[in-house]
Amino acid sequence: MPRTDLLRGTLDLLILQSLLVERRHGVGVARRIEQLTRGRFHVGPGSLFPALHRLEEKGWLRAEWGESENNRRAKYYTLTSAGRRQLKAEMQNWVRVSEAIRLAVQPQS
Amino acid sequence: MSVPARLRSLVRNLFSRDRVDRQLDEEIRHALDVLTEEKLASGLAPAEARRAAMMELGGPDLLKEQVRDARTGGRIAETMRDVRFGLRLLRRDVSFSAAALFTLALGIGATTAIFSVVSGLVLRPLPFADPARLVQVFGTSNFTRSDGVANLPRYREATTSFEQFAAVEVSASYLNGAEGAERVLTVRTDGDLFGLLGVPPLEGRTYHPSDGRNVAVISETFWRRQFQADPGAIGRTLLLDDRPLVIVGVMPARFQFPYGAASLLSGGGSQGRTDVWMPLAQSLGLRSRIGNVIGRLKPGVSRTAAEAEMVAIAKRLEADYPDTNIGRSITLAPLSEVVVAPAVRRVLFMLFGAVGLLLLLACANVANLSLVRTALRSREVAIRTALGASRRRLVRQFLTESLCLSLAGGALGLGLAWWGSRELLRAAAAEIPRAHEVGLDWRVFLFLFAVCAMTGALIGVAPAYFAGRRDVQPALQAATGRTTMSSGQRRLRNALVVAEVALAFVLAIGATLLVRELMRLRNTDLGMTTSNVITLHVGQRFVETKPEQLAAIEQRVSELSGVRAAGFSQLLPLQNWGWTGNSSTFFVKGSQPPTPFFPIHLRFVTPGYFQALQIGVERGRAFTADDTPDKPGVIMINGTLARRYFGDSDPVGLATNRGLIVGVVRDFRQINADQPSFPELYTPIAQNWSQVNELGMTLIVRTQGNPELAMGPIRAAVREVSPRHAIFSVKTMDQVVTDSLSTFTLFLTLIAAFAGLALVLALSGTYGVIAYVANSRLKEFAIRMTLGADRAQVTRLVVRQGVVLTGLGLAFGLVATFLAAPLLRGLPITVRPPDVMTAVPVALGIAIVATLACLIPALRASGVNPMRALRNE
Repeated sequence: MPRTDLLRGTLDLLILQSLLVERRHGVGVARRIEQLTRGRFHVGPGSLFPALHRLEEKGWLRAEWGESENNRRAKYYTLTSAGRRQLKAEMQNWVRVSEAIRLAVQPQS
Repeated sequence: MSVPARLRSLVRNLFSRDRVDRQLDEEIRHALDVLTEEKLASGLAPAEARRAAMMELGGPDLLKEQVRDARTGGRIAETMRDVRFGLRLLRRDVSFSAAALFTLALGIGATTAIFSVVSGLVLRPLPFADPARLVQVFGTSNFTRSDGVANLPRYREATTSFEQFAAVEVSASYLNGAEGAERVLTVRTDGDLFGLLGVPPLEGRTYHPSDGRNVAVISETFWRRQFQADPGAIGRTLLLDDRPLVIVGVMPARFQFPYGAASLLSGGGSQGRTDVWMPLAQSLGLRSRIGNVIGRLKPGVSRTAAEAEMVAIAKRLEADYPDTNIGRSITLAPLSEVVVAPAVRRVLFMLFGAVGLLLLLACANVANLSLVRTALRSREVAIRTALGASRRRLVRQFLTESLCLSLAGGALGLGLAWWGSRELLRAAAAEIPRAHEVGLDWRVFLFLFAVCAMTGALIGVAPAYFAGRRDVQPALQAATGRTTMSSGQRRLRNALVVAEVALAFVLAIGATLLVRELMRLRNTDLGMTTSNVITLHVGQRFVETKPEQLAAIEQRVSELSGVRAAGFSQLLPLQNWGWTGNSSTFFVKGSQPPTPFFPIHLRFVTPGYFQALQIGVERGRAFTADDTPDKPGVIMINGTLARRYFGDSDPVGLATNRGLIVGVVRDFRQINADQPSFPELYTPIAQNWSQVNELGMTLIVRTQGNPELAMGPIRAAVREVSPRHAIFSVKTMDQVVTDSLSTFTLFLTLIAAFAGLALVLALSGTYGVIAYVANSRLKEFAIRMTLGADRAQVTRLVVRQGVVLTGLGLAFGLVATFLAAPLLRGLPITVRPPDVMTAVPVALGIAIVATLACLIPALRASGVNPMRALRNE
C-alpha cells in the first residue's frame, strides 16, 4: 500500500475527526481515517495506539469497553466535549496552516 | 491536560498497572482479531491471515511498549517492572547475587568509609561561624617560617583588614582537688577568642576581655568529669595553679580550639582535649611574642590583600621597635589548611586512591560475573529480541538490574562504612585533628549514591552492550540453551582479569614497600637504647618545685635495686616536639655566629639523662652533679651541631654565650625514627632553673629487668621526696618508639588490608574466568582425550591460559607501579621507590597463587569422563 507520511501534528486532528460522528475501536479509527482520506493515509498500529492512549490521557477521548459487532469485548473511543473543542481549535489551526502553505507553494500569478 | 488529571493518570498507570496492562493486552488482542478477520474476508487462508495481521501489527510486545511509553509515567512504570524483574533474577541466582553483593559491599563500603574521613577532615568547613574568613597568622623571622607574632597589640591597632585577632597559648595547669593535684590541659587566651570563633556555649556564657582575667570556660568533658554535668558548676571557683577562676560557661564537646592542643604539649598523651579556657594572666605586652594567632577577616577582604597590609605594618614596626621586631614579618594561611596539614591531606588522598582502586577491582569482578550470567541468559535475550524488544530497551533493562545490584551493595556497604570509619577513628583519634567531627553526613550519602550509580553503570554497561548486539539466530537454535560467549565477550573478560591482576599488583607492591619501610624504621639505630627503659612524667605545682627536689628524686630512684640509671629531661626524644632556638643567638665569645643561620633544638636535662638512654659522648665529658648553679655555666652539643657549626675543629673547651662547651653527644634520633639528627644543644637543668617552666619533667629510668616492675618503688621514691608531685604518662621507651610510628603503622595497616582484599578479588576473578572457560571446553577436552591426550596435557592447556592472563596483568601492573612511584614522595615518611627486589617476589607470589587457583578448574576439567562429557552435549 502506498503511504503518505502524516504531517507532524496532523495525526491527532485526524483521530479526533474520525470520532466526530460515532465511537470506534482502534482498528476502526484507522479504517475511518483511510476512508476519510480516500486511502491516502494509512495509520500503522505503532503510531495509532500510542496516540489514542495519549489523547485519552489528555481527556479529549474517553475509552469504554463495549460489545463489538461479533460479540467480543472491545475498547471503544468516544470524543469528549474537551475533545470537540480541541478538534475545533486544531481545525482552525489547520486551515490557517494549509492556507499559508498553499500560498507559499502556489506559483505567483 | 490539567495537572490533577495528569496526576490521576500517573497514579493509575503506576499503581493499577496490572489492570492497565491487562486492558492494553485485551485491546491489542482485539485489534489483532479485527485485522485477522479483515484478511480472512479478503480471501486469505486462516493461518496466512493471522500471520499477515501479526505483521501489520508489528509485534504485540513492541506495540505495547510503545503505548506504555506514550502514557504518563510510562518510563517509571517500566523501570519499576525492570526493577522487579531484576530483583527476581537476583533472588533466583543466589550464588551470583551473594558473590556480587559481597564484593560490591566491600568495595563501596571501604571507599565510603575513607571518604567519610576525607569529608570530615578536609571537605567539611570548620565548625565555626563563617569559617572562610578565619586565618592563621604566622610570624616569620629571618630564620624560620613560624616563629610567633611579635607585638600583636600594634597589629591590632593598625589593621583595617581584620575584624579582630585572638591568640592562644596551650599549657598544663594543676588543679587543687580533694585527691591532690590534677593536671589539666588549659588554653590561655588573648583577645575575644569566643567572639571571633562564634560558637555558642553549651551552658552559661563565654567570656569576653571585659570580664577581666579571673574567669574560665570549661569543656563539656571536664564538666562531666569534674562536676557530673551539674549546671550549678557555673559560678563556682576553680583553683588552677593557685589562681582562682570563676567558671562562666561550658563549651560543647565538639568545640575544640586550638585543634590538637595536647600535641603542643609534652607528656600530653594522657588527655587529648582542652579542659579549661582562661584569659592570659597578663595582657600581651609590646615586647611579647605569641605563637598561635588567628584572625577574622572583614567581609569582602581577601587573604592576599590582608597579608599585604600585615607585611606593610610589619615593616613599620621594624623601624619603630627594632629590638623586638627587626627581621620579623607575617604570613597568613587559611585556618582550615592549618588545622589539617597538607601532609595529612596527602596521606588521606593516597588512602582514598588506594581504596578507589579496590572499588574498581570490585566493579571489574562483578562485571565479569555478570558477563557469565549474560551468556547464560542469551536465550532469554534472544527471545525478547525476537518478540520485538528494542536494543535500547534491553540495555535499559540490564542497567536497571545492575543498578539494583549496586544499590543493594551500597546499602550493605553503608553499614560497613559506618563501622569502618568508627573503628578507623578510634585507632587514629589521637593523631588526626577534627577526628571527632567525622560522621555520616549528607556529603557521605551523596558520595555513596554517586558511587552506587557509577558502579551500577560500570558493571551493567558491558553485559548490556553484548546483550543488545547479539545475533538472535544461534541463541534460539542452540538446543541446550547454553551457548558460548562471543569472542568479544571473551576478550573483554580476559581484559578485565588482566586489569584486576594489574591493580592488585600495584597495591601489593605499595603495601610491600611500606612493610619494608616499617621494618627498616623498627631496626633503625636510634642512637640510644630503648629496651628496659621506663619513662614517667612528674608534674608539680610549679610554684613549689625546687631544683633540690628533682636532684633528690633522681638520686633516690637511681639507688633503687634493679635500677641502673635515672635522669630527667623536659621532653622525651621521638615525640616530635621541642624547644627551638636559633644559631643566631649562639656564638663563641668574641666572634660572630656563622651565616646562614639555622634552628637549634634546646634540651634541658639532668646528668643521668645520657646514662638512662645510653647516649654516648663523642668528645669531652657529660654533665655531672657538680655542674651546679654556683659553678660556671656549661653546655653540651650534639655531633650534628658540632659539625654544622664548627666543622672539623674540636668545639670542646670553647666558651660560648650559652656556657662552656664541655662535651659533644653522639647523634641520636630526636624527632622520629625516620628523620636524621637535628642540631641540638643541652643545658643542665640545675643551672637553668628559671627556664624550666610549669610543664613538669619526664623521668627516664633504665632498669636491669622488666622496667614496669620497677614502677612501684619509683612511685614510692617520688612520694618520699614530695607527696604533692603527680605521676602520669607512664610509658616504656619502647612504647614511645612504637607510638612515634603509630600514624605510619595505621596507614600501612589500611594499605595492606586494601592490598589483601584486592588480591582476593583478582584471584577470584581469574579463577572465575578460567573455570568458565574450562567448563565450556569440556567437549573439546573429551575429544582430545578420546584421541589420546592425557590428563596432564589437558591440565596444562587450562592452566596455560590462566598463566598468560596473570603474566599480562603483572606486566601492566609493573608499568603502572613505576608510573605511580612519584606519589610515594608525598608521604610524611621516606619510602624508597619500588625496585626489582620488591617487585619480583611479589609478582612471583601472585603468579604462584594464581596458578593454584587455575589448577582447580583445570584438574576438574581433565578429570572428566570423556564419554559422559560427550553424551551430555
